[in-house]
Amino acid sequence: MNDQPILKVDGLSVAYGPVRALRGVSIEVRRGRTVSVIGPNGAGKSTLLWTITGLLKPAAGSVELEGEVISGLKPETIARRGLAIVPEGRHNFLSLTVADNLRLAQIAGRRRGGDEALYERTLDRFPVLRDRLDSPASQLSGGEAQQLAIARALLTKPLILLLDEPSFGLAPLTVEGVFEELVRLKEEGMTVLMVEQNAGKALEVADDAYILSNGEVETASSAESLKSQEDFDAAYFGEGGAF
Amino acid sequence: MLQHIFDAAATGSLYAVIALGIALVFGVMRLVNFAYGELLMVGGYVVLLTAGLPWPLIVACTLAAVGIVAFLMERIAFRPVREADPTTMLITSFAVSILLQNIAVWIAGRRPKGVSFGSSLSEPVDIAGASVPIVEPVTLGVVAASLILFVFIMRKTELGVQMRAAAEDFRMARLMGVRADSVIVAAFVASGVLAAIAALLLVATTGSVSPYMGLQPVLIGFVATVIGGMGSLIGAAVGGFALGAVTVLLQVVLPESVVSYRDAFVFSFVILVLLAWPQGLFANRAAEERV
Repeated sequence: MNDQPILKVDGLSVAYGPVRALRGVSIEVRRGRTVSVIGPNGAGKSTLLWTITGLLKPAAGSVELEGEVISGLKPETIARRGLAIVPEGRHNFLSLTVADNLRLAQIAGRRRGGDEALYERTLDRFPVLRDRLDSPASQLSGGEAQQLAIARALLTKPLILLLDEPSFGLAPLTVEGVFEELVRLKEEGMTVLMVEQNAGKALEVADDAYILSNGEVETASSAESLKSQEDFDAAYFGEGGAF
Repeated sequence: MLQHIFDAAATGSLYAVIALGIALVFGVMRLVNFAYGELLMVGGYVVLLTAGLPWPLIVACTLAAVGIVAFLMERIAFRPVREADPTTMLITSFAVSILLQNIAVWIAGRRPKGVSFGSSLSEPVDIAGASVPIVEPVTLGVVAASLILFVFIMRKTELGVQMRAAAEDFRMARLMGVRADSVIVAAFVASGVLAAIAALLLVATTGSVSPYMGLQPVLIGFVATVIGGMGSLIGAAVGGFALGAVTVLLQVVLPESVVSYRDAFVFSFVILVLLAWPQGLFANRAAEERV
């Protein structure tokens, strides 16, 4: 039972009209693992995440969360089953205060057994947010906004955390902070599925990695072995996607 | 002078309530619900039907009936087309609007009917030396109380926080477990309640109801939300108030020879505002995120 993956994507195909964005993509995320999906722009990485969250409907294939099929369910139902996402661009509610952003997450988390202790722990993790509870989320810096987006996801007490391009649009120093946070989450046993263009960074924290290219899984292996592949740099970084 | 200020404030606050009802539904559905005017019209006819009852009962019946009609409107007409493109939803709203107008014509006839509701409110009252009909301070009080309650619900309750979040970023709200159905039903029912409040105040002021009484208010509400910045609730309320106040003030300051062209001046004002602030006065701040 414990060997069962938290998230299992099986033969997923997604089409935008005649354009096939994903073709038979299969990935697995086991409990406590950090999995990175890397690949150039337009490879279908974000499409994969949007489909897992339920915002996009697959043309074929299925998504399972803890052994139960979730593809076809509404996004809010999937979220309530324990799937949280930190989307690209963060998508904090800018007209709401930091406190209200967190409160919204707490409403979701309470249904999953989230309590005041979780709230306090989360604010201890991101002390900056505690100081800015009454500020509108629109006044946060990029790094602070990313912290809020992650805090919000954690407060929903998720089974798995999805991250869409966590380094996108952030200053290098801030990116360091975000990835340090990911390492900390991993040590605490959080299960993470991350999509990232910054392959070097993504492989540093990941246990397993998939390379997505033209909507298909090109390579699936441990992050360790992928990093050591000699031709990897040439094949991937050579295209200059992230750097 | 004070009298004109009261006129302007009363009309402005009535427009603010109307605009808020439109902005609420627009916020969560990106739909300008043109059938909103017919919610107001239904409210008017409920007042007519219950005219013999004590006024608290009339108010209660109107609020309940229009809230229910708004609820049914969402379930029957708008939910099936929610995933369709915006044009489909817009046309649906026109269809619902025309349908309700025709049902009113069919049942009650085309001609306006007089209603005695609140006729005692047209008596003048002396406020700081100005003589104004009681209905004006009553309107101000009712609108102020409604807005305070509304703000309280939106700021302090869980549903309110969820609705504000959904109004800003509907998809993200769903990704955080906010039920799309719940917030949309809540927005429709709340907009129905606002329409009912507007209907009560309007009928008390004009003393008549007709199948077409919702047409002008919905246009005003729509323009007000555009001035305020589509999607901003505060913007809609401020836009409505400004539009009402400007309309009344122009009525006063325009020379007699051009006063019949008042609305041309009102909409010139609207155009000027939009030239200066193309996104409206309270444009959605989503575009201004710092990186």
